[in-house]
Amino acid sequence: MAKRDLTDDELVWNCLTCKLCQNYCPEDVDFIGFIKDVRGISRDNGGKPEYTHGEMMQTMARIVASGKFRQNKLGWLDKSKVSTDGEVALWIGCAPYVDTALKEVGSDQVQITQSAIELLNKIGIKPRILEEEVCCGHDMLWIGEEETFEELKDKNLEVLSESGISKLVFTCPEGYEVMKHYYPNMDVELAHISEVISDYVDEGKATFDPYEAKITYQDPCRLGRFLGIYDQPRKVLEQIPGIELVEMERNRSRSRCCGVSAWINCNQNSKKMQLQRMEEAVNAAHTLVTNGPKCITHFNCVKNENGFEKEIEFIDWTVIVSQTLRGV
Amino acid sequence: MTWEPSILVFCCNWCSYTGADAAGISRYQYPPNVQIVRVMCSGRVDPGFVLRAFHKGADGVLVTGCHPGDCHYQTGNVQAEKRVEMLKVLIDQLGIQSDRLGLEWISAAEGQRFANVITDFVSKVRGLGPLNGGEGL
Ligand code: SF4
Ligand code: SF4
Ligand code: FES
Repeated sequence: MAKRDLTDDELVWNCLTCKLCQNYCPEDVDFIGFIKDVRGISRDNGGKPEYTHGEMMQTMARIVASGKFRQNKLGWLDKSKVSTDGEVALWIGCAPYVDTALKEVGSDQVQITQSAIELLNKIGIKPRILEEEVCCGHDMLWIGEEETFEELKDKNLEVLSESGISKLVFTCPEGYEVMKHYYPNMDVELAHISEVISDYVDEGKATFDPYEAKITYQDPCRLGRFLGIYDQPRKVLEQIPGIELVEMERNRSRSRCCGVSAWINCNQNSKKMQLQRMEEAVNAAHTLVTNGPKCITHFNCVKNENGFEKEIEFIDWTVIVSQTLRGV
Repeated sequence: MTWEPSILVFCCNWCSYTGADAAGISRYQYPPNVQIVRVMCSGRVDPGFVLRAFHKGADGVLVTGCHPGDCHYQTGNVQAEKRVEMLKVLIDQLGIQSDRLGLEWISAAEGQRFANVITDFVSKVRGLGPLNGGEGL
């Protein structure tokens, strides 16, 4: 059999690193770890992915990593809602950049960040915002661009240790995942916003305004299969009066990815996956609740561009919960 | 060595590129700080190209195309305008002054205008100083 040169193979870049296969693998093969490493080797040999959006997203990460410019991404921030010396910080990440770059696609990631601030305010927390934070490096790591990832990671470790915070809250599962698994010696506690609110619900203090909808929940790959957070977001949604939470055919650890990861190789396969996933969602409910800024961006894109005939609403978990949770 | 701005100019095949030629043929002088990239239409300039130019150290980027209504492909320049507006916001967020990016309409016959536009843009970028010169710090 002819030897196949994986370092120069489109398949290496088409993998979503969604980890679904590892869910089934009886031998526990770390397939996505393998893909990540092959990508690094491929890159060393001149290979590269099909960058979507003209390599804008990756170039932004590289510009930020260069450390030559002072970012100015917080223009939308209401300073009265955040603190400058608190112990709990909220990660902003690339949301403001993606919003600007993909306005036409229908991206509203800053709305998710703002909702997270509202939500934390409602449970009595004024989060810190780390003005010096840089891109978390998740995408760079997973496309095998180790050097850029290292630069970003080192800078963030410095920012985090200087900040004196004890807890860092994320809306985006990717930042959480990459820091938890690839940043060494983190002495800051990491949490997804759905974990924070779930704890608050457990304390018995939460009350919600009604939201009438039949909804289904999309487990993001990073939050679900990578971090094992399936129950907390669902539990909170079930507290909201008027919400009927139903499951899609493939859910929890068997959940299907939103079709694109790390802004590469968004192609026919991605679109097909997204349309299939939306089909699954409408078969179950009218509203699909996503839980991470990128998932909703990709879904909105396919809905706007590829004409999905059936009625479906997308709303992010953080947005729906911040709209319904009553303040203290 | 004194610093000289290095500027990337995207020229549309149907208008500003010929405008640049016209400037040359008519011997209109303009500063030698620009490198021209010919594209088939200003609408071909992907926002990624502009970001990559800054990442690679361009001190300024100028997108040029046909006057409104004259685009060979009808609406390429309308797209270009939208993208440049978006990019100005984006580079500002990244910490790169938005004035380092420009958009100008130059027809094939406007050799003098080409030379003037380049002269003005080069002097504007010269005034901003080198990229990475601690912008916004
Ligand atoms: S796309 Fe997902 S299921 Fe397929 S090989 Fe990659 S990680 Fe495995
Ligand atoms: S699905 Fe996502 S990656 Fe693909 S074009 Fe749309 S926004 Fe870009
Ligand atoms: S052809 Fe010149 S701008 Fe479109």
